Amino acid sequence: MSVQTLYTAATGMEALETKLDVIANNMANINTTGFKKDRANFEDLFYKQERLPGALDSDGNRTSTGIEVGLGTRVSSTQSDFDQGAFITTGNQLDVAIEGDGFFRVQDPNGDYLYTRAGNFGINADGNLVMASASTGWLIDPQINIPPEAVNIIITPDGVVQYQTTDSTQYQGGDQLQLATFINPDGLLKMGDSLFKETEASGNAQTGNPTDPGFGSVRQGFLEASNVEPVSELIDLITTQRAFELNSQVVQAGDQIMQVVANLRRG
Amino acid sequence: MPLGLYIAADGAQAQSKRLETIANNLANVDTAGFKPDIATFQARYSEAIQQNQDFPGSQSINDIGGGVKVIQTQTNFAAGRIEHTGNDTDLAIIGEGFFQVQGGDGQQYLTRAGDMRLDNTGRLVTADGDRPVLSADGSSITLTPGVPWNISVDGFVQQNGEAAPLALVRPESLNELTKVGSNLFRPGGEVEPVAANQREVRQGYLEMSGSNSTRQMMSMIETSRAFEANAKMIQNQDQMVQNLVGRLLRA
Repeated sequence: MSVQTLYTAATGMEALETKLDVIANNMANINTTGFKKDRANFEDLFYKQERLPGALDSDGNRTSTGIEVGLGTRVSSTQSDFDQGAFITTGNQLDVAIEGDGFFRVQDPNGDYLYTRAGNFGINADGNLVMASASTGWLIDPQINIPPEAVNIIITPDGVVQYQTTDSTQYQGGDQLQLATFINPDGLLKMGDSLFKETEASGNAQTGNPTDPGFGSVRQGFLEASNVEPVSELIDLITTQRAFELNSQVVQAGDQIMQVVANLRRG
Repeated sequence: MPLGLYIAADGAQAQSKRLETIANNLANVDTAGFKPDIATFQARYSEAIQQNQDFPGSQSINDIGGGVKVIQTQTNFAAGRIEHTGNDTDLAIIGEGFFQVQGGDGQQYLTRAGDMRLDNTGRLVTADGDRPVLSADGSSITLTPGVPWNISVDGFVQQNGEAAPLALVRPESLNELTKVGSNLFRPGGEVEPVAANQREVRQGYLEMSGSNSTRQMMSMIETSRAFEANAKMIQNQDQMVQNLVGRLLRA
């Protein structure tokens, strides 16, 4: 009966709505530093096996293929795309972009580690480097100390932070930024505030210094822009909307058929 | 009751089944590696022939059609559109063949959906994350984190100077593949590796759904109209009987 048609088309509409949500979030974050776009992956649901291939039909014929009716679709996963975003020159001494793999590690007030690609840092009252984009200004781990009297700050590609003070031309300091990588960055949990959290699926964080093999290097005075590409998102938006409409048409066709059936008996 | 009533009902039922198939094809217009199904109809022999009271081609009054039924759903394995994604773990097969993956039940399945990813141990797995993609020798493919890797055009996963060939296989006949959902096909018999000179895999590309929405839409309109026509026939036959009964009662 065509009730199945209604439900099958509904799974399509539901899955496409999820895809639309993902696109909307990508578009909303087109200007978010260090943002990594997501993609919804689809898979077909299971199949009603009305007759297996090779079975005998009622006329005694052996059929080469069976009758299988699929029950629709669902979103199997959303996957982040960790492609490098564009670099934006800011000239700000406390802006740092990662070129290559890796995340900065930050510590939340509970002592838990979180990870980010957003390198727009600030300095807190204690003279420690903090994440400026997080609403609370969480500490970068390991801690990098830059006293208030520092004037010229230099961050080398391998992450060493040095500074001059007003009363000396010598560079001081030497704390080093560290990066963390994951076997499966797709498995990281997005926390908002440009933060990612380690999960079972991502594997444990492996830390290393910038420019170590397998880790990216850091660039002072740059920020990594969002890797959302507006054109491809718009194309996705259009195709998703159309696909949604198509599925709604199927719902209408199914409904129409049921209506015809309901009107079969007259008088 | 007149035979036509049942024939028209068969027709309506077959169209309804066909619509279910179209609904599934349209629901999966965005599913990577999806292959659409076509419900195939077959005319039934007349009642008399089915009961061996006559033979096909006798040109007697018995030799009229006996309605229709869905005989099979056939999968159209034509290649889908190849889309560039730039994602390292997206793989598209150009030409023939399927990736071989290991299901949770230990069975090996085939798939054209190349939206792969890495799991927390570095294994290459399908998008829903729990089915390892197999290499030609039947083992899963594990990558060392942090070390650059790539997949060559002939389907070799290369890292650290080592290369493991992805399993690219095809069944003896495409007809013996059963769809089981999750973008997987269950082979009915033996599968054989795709010949070395025919292996072609593109990294960073994805084969999209083979479901053509315009064609599916046309089929849907056709199906709904055919259903309505059959329903109309049911009503006509019913009216005929009604008239007959009415007239008999008056007489």
